[in-house]
Amino acid sequence: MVPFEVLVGSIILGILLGGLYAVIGLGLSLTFGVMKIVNLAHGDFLVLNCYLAYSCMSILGIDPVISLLFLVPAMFAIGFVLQKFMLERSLRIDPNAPLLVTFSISIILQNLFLLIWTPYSRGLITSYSLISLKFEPIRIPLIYLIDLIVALIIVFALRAFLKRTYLGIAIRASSQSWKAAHLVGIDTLKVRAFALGLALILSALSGVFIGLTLPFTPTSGVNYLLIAFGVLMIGGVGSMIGSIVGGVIMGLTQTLSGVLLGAGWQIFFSCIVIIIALLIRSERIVKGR
Amino acid sequence: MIGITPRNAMLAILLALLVIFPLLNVGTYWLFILFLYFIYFVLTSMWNLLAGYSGLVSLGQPSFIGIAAYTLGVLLMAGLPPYLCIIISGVTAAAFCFLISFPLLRMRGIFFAIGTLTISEALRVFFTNFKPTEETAIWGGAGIPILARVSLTELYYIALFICVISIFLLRYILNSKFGLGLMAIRDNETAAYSCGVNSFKCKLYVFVIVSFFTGIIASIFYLFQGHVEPFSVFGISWTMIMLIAAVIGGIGTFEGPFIGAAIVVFLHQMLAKFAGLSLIIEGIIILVIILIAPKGIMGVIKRKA
Repeated sequence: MVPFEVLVGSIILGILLGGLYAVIGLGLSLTFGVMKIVNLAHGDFLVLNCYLAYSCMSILGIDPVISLLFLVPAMFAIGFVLQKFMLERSLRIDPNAPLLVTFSISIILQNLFLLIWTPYSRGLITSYSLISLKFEPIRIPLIYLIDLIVALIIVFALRAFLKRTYLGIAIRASSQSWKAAHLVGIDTLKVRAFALGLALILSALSGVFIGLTLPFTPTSGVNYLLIAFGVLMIGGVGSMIGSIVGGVIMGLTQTLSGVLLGAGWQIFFSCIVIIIALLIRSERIVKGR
Repeated sequence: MIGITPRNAMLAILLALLVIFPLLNVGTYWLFILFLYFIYFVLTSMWNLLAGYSGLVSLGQPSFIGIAAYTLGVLLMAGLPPYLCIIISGVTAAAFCFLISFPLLRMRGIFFAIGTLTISEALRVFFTNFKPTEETAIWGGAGIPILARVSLTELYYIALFICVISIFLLRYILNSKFGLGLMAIRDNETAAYSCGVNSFKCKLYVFVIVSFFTGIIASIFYLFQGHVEPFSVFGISWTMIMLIAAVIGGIGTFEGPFIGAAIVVFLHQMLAKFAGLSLIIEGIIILVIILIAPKGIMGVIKRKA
């Protein structure tokens, strides 16, 4: 069977990855909360950031973390424009239109990746992404620890933003009831555009660190969409603690199934966890509890 | 229900033309094009019944296509006759649908869409890793062969037959109480339920019927294709075919899939040269049509009329 230290190591890695997964889930949760739609291209935007950071690194020689300096504003702009000129229009058509719109954006992005970056598996390999810390007999890659620290910083910063700033409060108000938010004078149109912009900023941040940690392919987006969805289902909309719990559960599912059954089965077990979570939680999530 | 009106007479003539078409010796290419059209039409009109009329936007139809195709492959390996295999694979797809209906149909809207997507993704991963035999050449990522050869002309007639049956069934369903119930559920499930529509039963019936026909038509297609492979049967491109055909023709219209499927067949022939670009172009087409004319071509025609 699997040696004990490998099992313990994978449990630790799963928990460490959980932080980043929580951030991925929070991005989806923001758009779901405010617009009541699921952005099916969420995972593909994350992979887009992996690839952009990869090109920055291989062509311009910029460190992936430094490339965030322009990835973050660029993603915010894309999110803002996408919501303002595309999703807003589809929201008014009927409840299923945004689903089809984001699905086709996802297909377009995936095939663009395939065209530009070829189907090969890529990774962001830097000097620090290969260091690992030894706690005999367990080895932990440094990047996993960095991931957790970064993720916790993002989660707390997001929490402070949503609690303290006007825009954050407006986002929370619109996610409780956008009609009531509109009545008290919140520009819900702008709030929705900001929410998608913010969600894409989160995908830029989590994308670069995911790229540093794990390899990615043009179709990895589906995998991250499923993870984000699992986190949203387990954690609930807009709950920071819930998202971290969800992230850790999804992280553990991935690493444990990878160690016990082989890497091919990872997505299968994520799917099973999501279906169970959907069954138990979908009604509660809709009612916003 | 079926009287002799000019419209019905025209449809009868069209059907007669389609029946004698293979006898005209026009070459396999045109036979194949029409065969493909029947396949796309049945898939699209079934998806349309589910998404357009019942409000169940399924992104996981490839699950039924895959289950049926794999059943077909396994049964042919066991040496059963092809025609029996087609029927059994349809039944298997319907049975699988029945099983997953109990968790899935409790979810509404987006959750149903994600649930179906998750199941089809899970099946794809399952069949990529599933290896019941020691032989390396089959199962797993390599897929399984279809051990039967049925001529294209024969398959053409079977597909045409399924196509005609599904048209009659669709008309029957949409004119029945059951169809009204479905549309009521689509428009407002809670209101429909309080008017006495048993929403779970209605959704279950329609989902099972749709998966049966999806399975049957898929197994006919894979009988022609000759090979079943997890990445193609559970692939997103099947979902794209149904989606783009329904969106172009008009979601929630009876005539939409007739037009949409024809355009998609044409589009696929046009885009065959640009393999890398074709899905990007299809995605852009869906985006543009949903944003500009959400009810597709039929929506535009009906608004003008």
